[in-house]
Amino acid sequence: MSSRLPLFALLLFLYGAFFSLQEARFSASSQQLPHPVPPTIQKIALGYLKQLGGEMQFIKASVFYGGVKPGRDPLEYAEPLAQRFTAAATLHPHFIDTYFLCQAILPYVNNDYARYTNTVLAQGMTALPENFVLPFFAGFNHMYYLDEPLDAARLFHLAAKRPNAPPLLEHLANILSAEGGNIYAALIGLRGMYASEKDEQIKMRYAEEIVAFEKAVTVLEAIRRHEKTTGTPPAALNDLVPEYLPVLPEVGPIFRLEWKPPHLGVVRVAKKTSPRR
Amino acid sequence: MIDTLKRISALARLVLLDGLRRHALMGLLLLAIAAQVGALFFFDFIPRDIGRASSDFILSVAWLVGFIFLFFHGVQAMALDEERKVIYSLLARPLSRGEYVLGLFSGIAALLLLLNFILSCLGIATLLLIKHLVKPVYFSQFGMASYFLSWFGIVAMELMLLAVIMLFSGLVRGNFPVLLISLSFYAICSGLPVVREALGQQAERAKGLTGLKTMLSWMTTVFPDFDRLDFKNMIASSAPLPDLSLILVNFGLTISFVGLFLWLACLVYQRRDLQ
Repeated sequence: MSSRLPLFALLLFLYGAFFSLQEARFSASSQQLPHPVPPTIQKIALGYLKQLGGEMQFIKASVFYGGVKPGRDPLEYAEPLAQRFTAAATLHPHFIDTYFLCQAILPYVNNDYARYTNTVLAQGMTALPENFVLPFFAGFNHMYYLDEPLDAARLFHLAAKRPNAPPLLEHLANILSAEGGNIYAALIGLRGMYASEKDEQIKMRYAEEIVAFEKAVTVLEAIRRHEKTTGTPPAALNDLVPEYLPVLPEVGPIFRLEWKPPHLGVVRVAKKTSPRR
Repeated sequence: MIDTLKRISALARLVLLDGLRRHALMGLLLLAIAAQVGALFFFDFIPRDIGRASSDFILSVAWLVGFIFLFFHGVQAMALDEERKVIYSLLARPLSRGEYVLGLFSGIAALLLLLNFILSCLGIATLLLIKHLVKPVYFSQFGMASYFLSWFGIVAMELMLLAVIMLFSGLVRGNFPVLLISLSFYAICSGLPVVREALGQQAERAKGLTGLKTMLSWMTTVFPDFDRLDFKNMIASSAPLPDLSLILVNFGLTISFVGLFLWLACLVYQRRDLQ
């Protein structure tokens, strides 16, 4: 027994040495998030536990993201994170935290990930038809990161129809419709909001915007007349003066006209865009 | 009929007491209590949807505990009677083989019900504690009716699996093969709805998959879709309970499935060579 004691001590020492080496190696390397098992396989393997599996995917993603050192290139870890969010949303589409974390991390990486975020959010929008925040997030991504005002307007309209949605979503949807060139729809929507609004200050704001949109409609009609006569849209809005319009109307101070043939948009002067664009 | 029921209930009582004597519940209850204490730490990882995550955790632990009970105690029960030669002394009495299967099923089901009853009480206490600990915005809904409906769902699934285990225990000798076959059965039950969903999406694009779709839907009669008994999403939701008719259909299917499989298990066990 006494002869085996040094052997046991040696074994213990070796274990301690290897353990310290392993710890040193893993703490020195940058933190990695492995790709998850495909959600379909997880769904089969987990059965009744799939919702808990979805929550575990979320926890893994959030714990990993909490440990990312500042300054690290997000593209290094964006792909496995995106897949974790897809897995979490597929396994448990009703769990709202997945969408909040996904929205907080992915769209900021680049446009591809902004689109990817919207596919994850789409799962939540189907599973939670009463939640207005998810279509708002998706609409925001279209508006801010992707510069697609019409898609953003569609999603803000959807968000506005959901219970407890603030009226500003409907308003934003109309503004973005006009920015995307759908000025008639924006005008009809704003007139409806004006008619149902009780607050006098907000009504005044709507009235200003309605006047601006009505002026934009006169420009739009002039463009249509130009197209009908010449077969092509004008190269610049000034080409409409004086034959089709006596003078180009001023839609300020809130808006300005943006002419990208063949689309006329009414863009907010104070429009904020992603610094990435 | 009354005599038959008396014999079945007497055997069930024996199985229940034997299970308690073998600490079938004690260890699992300790495991469940430890896991439910873990729920108090688990919800710390969840920033927003705490009610949903906590109820998912509690119900998942309960399912896991029931699953362990079924596959490590339920599967052994019949094989153990044969190994310990208890079956001969039981069948030497005026007890038919069919009554033996039904008695064994009833005893294990009683243990399962007891386990689920204790776990549901513990679960409700844990959830109410968590609800008390967090702001209402993070745990705004707690549907008591949905909670108990979810437990009925779990019990229904476990009873269905138990009936399947009874059938396989009569068909196959030894508890390990029964465990493997029963696990495979459960794996098919979990996988089949996923395959059907994937095929349904493909069938919308391609027309030639109707035959396969029909075959899979027939397979679901043997390998039931347990997702239809999963109501835990509703506990922390403001959505109303599903239609009473739907609930009745789901639980009606469960009862008829259990009845059918037990009938088959009795038939198989009557022809089994016990030597």
